[in-house]
Amino acid sequence: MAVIAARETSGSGEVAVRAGVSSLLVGLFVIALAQATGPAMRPPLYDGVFPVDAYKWLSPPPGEHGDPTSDMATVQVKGERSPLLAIGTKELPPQAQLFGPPGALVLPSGTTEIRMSVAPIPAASSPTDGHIEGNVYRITVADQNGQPLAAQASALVSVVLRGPGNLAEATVERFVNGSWQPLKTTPAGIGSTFIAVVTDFGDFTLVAPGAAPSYAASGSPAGGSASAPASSPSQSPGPEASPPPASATAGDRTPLIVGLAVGAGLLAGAAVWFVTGRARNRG
Amino acid sequence: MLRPVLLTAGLLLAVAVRWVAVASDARDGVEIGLAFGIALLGVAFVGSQRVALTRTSSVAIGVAGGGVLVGLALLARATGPVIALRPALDFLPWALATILVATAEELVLRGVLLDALARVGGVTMAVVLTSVLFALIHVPLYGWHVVPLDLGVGLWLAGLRLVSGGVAAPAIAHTLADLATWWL
Repeated sequence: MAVIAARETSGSGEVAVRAGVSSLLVGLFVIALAQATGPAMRPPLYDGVFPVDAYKWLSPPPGEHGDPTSDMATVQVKGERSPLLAIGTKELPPQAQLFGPPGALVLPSGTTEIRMSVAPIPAASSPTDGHIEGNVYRITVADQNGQPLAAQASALVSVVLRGPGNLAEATVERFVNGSWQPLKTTPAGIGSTFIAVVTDFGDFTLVAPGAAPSYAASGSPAGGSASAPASSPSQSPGPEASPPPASATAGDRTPLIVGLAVGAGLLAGAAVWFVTGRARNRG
Repeated sequence: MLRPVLLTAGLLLAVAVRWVAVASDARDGVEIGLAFGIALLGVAFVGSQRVALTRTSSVAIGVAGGGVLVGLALLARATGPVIALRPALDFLPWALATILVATAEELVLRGVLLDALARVGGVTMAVVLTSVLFALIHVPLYGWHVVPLDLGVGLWLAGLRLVSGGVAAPAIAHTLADLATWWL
């Protein structure tokens, strides 16, 4: 990569270096400020190449994908602090995730383990402030006896939900006492992914303003899984009702992708060699 | 004046095509990344005017610059939860696509475009405009809230470009920071 270093043409010598140092310092300050005041969650750094699975619906509208995944985990409690909590569905990026730092949960004495699960479920009702985008997810956190656990507000336990398509705006809502309650929501960095800090667990979904789009409306009056039969997630979408999951085909294309990547690398090298050679001849 | 405008138009066109491809779920992220990287290489190739110089120090500056970005990200992670983003693909194709995209972005932004803008309006304007562009091209995929962070990173990478005297340093730093997402 060193051979692609371009000759300094944007100012020379000391002036350019001074401008560069200033840019470095200002950049560092802006990065620190953005990280200190920005959303709690964001892309890991600032860019990257991430495969994004097509959204998987519990009750897929025509032409959409089905078979959303679930996850469950059990972690042991050592001492009186809860361990790191991290659970998420298997899509890329996950369609539902739960994160909690160590010590986040309020643990009754005698708690020896924490059982977590996240699974798509049919929606019990539609929200009044918009429409459901995607699935409703039931997130449970309980002790070894099945008693629900709660989190401390200061612990920043977070629910992250990804919606279908490119959602510009959505709110994470929790189903409480028969209705959907909005939570303070911030975008989580990757398209259509949103995060909310929670203290209690239960049923969560993304709610977008306005009427449901056609693809969602055709699949469910609530825009999501409301019309799905009340059944376990594994029963809801039949294979005939949805195309193959994206992840099933991604692995099959790996040799092609490797070939393309190697070809692209060779092409990049050839381009650099050609550009530098052309300029050298010109000089 | 025409050259930076055309370069910017080429960059934005590539970004728009990538966004449409992502939104349509037509291909997976690696394929789209490869196509995007190749398109940017085309822009850099068409817009190139000057010969490259190899500077050994650029590698060290780039590695140090990338290390700072990774360190800042680690620092931010220590204070809050993280999103699981590790791709479920083989490392090699993902890494090659990431290297290609990061390098191509640097060739265009901190390479040919920064030079072209500097000739028209000076170094400061070039640094500011390329940094703003760098932030804006990430908006379609990540949303507006990433603008402050990416603006800062753009300024940081532009600083590496000016201090090192070449585009190799920001390309290395950018690549290292992106590759670090595999483990972070």
